Amino acid sequence: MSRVVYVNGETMVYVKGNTASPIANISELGLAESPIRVTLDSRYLDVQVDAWGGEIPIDVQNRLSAINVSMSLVHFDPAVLEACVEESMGASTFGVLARAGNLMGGNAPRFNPLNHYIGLNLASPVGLRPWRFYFAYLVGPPMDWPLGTERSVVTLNWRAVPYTQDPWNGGLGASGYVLFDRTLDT
Amino acid sequence: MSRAVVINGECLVKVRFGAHIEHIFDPLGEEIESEGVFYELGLSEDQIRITPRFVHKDIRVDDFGDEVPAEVMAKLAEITITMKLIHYDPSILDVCIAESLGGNAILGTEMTGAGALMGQNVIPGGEGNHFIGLSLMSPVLNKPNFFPTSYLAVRPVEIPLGTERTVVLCNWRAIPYGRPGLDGSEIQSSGTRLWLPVSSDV
Repeated sequence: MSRVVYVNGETMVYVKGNTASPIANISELGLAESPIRVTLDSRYLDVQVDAWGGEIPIDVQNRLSAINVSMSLVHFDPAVLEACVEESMGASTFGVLARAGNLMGGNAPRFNPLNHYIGLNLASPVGLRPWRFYFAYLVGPPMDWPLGTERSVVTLNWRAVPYTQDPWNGGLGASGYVLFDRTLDT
Repeated sequence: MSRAVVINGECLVKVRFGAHIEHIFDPLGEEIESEGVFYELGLSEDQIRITPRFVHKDIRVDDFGDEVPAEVMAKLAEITITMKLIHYDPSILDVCIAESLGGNAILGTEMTGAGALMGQNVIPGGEGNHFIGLSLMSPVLNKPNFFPTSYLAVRPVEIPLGTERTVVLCNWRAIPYGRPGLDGSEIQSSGTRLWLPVSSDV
């Protein structure tokens, strides 16, 4: 029987940014207070035909997917977190803005200094099903950091998108594109 | 059953210029590579639209009354192709604009004389012919579209400038270009090529 009660285990969050960032090497971001949530955001387009009534589709077109990851970090590295915020702002210095309209990917490959996407990795020591999201960033609201005498539990919302430098891909488009996989960055 | 939901697929736009366009360079001075005679112009933000305009002329006969024709003459056609380029090569677009202006050598600075012919009685793709071969790829449906003689027309481009990504609205016009025969014969409309179900006429 392959059915089990699935337990992911202690889910360490690792991040890796471009070679010019403070997180150029794989870095431990931290541990969450409660389960980290991975939510698939898949988009579809109904194909409507009048002969079918025009409201229920005869078929559905797949329009690719993004991933939303939310977490509440309670045991974390503030310096690594600041680096994530900095990169997610498309910037090179924490607290300093990048030009408005700056492209996150910078039309550059992964880990190139112009590419500000972050590799987001979730360990899985018990379930043995880790996650690696190649192109992730903090988004809406990216970070909620309470300050006071209690321990800070920082809420983060990540989004992983299928970034590409060439959407044409030799006529293949998104076919074969790896949005996430089970091998952690090193 | 041959009926199906039709999906063209990722529609890459390629362009072919006259042979007088030998090299195209980007702003850094690097030559832009072509694929044979075609250059990649780009990908559209949403669907590219092909809208033909067929021209007909009614033949009225009094016996048929004066409103409904007894016969109709087919008088050729032209095609409008609209697209919103979002992932494109600005240097190639500049050449498209220059050629559509009648072969303006330096975009916007030296206009070709008023009345200059676009085709110059030269074959499409030949030296001096300023029409652009417009090719729309069809990787899923495998039914490409090629317009051998087209140009940016009427309101040819709309270029928004700001901090958001620029999505350029392009309006193309394809016509059935005609030229005198090599034997000196008159221009004939019969056999002229307007719209081909191939990716290239090369």
